[in-house]
Amino acid sequence: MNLQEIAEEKFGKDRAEELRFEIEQLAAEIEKLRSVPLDIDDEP
Amino acid sequence: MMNPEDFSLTEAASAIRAGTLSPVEYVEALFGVMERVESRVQAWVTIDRGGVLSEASKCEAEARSGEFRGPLHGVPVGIKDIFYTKGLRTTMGSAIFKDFVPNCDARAVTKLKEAGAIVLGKTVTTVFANLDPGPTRNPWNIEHTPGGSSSGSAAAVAARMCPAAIGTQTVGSVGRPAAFCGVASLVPSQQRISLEHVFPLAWSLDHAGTFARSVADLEVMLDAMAESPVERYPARAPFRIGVVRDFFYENATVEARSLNDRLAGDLAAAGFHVEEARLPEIFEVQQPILGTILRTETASIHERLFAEHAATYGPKLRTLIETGMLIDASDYVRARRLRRRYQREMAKLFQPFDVLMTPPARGAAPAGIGSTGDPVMNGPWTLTDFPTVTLPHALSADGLPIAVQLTGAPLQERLLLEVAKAIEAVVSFTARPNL
Repeated sequence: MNLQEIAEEKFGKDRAEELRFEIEQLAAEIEKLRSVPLDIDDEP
Repeated sequence: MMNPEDFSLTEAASAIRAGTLSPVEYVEALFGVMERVESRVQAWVTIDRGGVLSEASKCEAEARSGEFRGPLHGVPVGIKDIFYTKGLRTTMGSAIFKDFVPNCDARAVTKLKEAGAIVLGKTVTTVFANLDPGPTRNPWNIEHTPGGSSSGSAAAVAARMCPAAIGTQTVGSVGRPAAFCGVASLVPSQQRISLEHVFPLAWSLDHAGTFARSVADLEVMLDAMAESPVERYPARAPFRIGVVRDFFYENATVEARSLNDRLAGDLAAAGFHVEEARLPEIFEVQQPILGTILRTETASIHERLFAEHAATYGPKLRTLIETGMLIDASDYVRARRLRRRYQREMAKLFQPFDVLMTPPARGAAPAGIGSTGDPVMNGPWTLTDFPTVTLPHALSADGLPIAVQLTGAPLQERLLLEVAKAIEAVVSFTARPNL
């Protein structure tokens, strides 16, 4: 499931639609984070 | 003789100690200012005048007999309405907590009281210290935002309703309102000032901070609230200033860039060593790191309250929480891991510099109070957890304050404050709002 589908399940279709722009922004941010390789010394 | 409301915090504290300023007369003078300006500025949520006068009377009696509680004896300060205050309503800017009266003080408030400060009242916060604005207006022009989330604290200090106030910053909630209201602010490293009994927005990003009208006042407030003594090092003038343009100039107005460059030139002419500093590659992911941590932690903090009271939430906080609920654990941990790398890489900027210099906001305070402005210039530093000072240095074409944001190396608050004092002496900013 993508984030939009998860949002529909959690908040209903109407609210998920209202959040579409923010969800797309969030998806882009997460994509960017995932594109950076981590190594063993990157502790949280 | 100066009007008491015009005293800086250190001037007021010295005058009280010398017996030339009565704590009772001082708070009465501040109440007088409130009567003149508060209906327009709306910086305060709760003020217990009887309690304040009673405490001032006690301080006065103690001062007469030569007893002083600490360096802030008899000095009234404003407290952002997300710090718990014993017996004094603490609303978090939310209808959910409109009648909440804590039975204890936040640790930072306890420290201020131990230093002799009087809690003058609770200052307006945006709803749960996020982006949905409160009623506060900018004392320089009430048609403009004071910034947020520590809106009331910044506005109250600018309007001479108190000499100092405290706030919190998770992204840009101290530096931005300080810049918009033309007052000085300090956000030290997170570990310096306890956040015990302060309502959180995002635990790993939240910082306590302070507002005042001089750098010396910020230092006194830091020393009063710090959990352990802040180390002193010998000053090493000429100070080395790194001007960071890159991202910060891309996001600043032409006027803000030009005034920042003018300040850099003035500092170089005054003997500071000024050079450009370049951001590391990892800076490109600072916003996704910050956003992911902020959304996830805020959603966790509000999980129960939001389920029961969603209708009372402002649209910006509601969106932040709901998008936070979509982030899975592995992405949150990835953001936390990258934050550590970001902090390490950003710390290397200080190898040739004592402080870094950037604009603290896109420009002067925007018109309207429907938004508190954009924290884009502050978030990168909050994410590093490096200390920052914001200092007014000029006026915009519209007569609103323009400030500079100074960032120190990790835990180097004392050096940062020394450099800020030296810069303050060069800029000599004396303008004040005309209310």
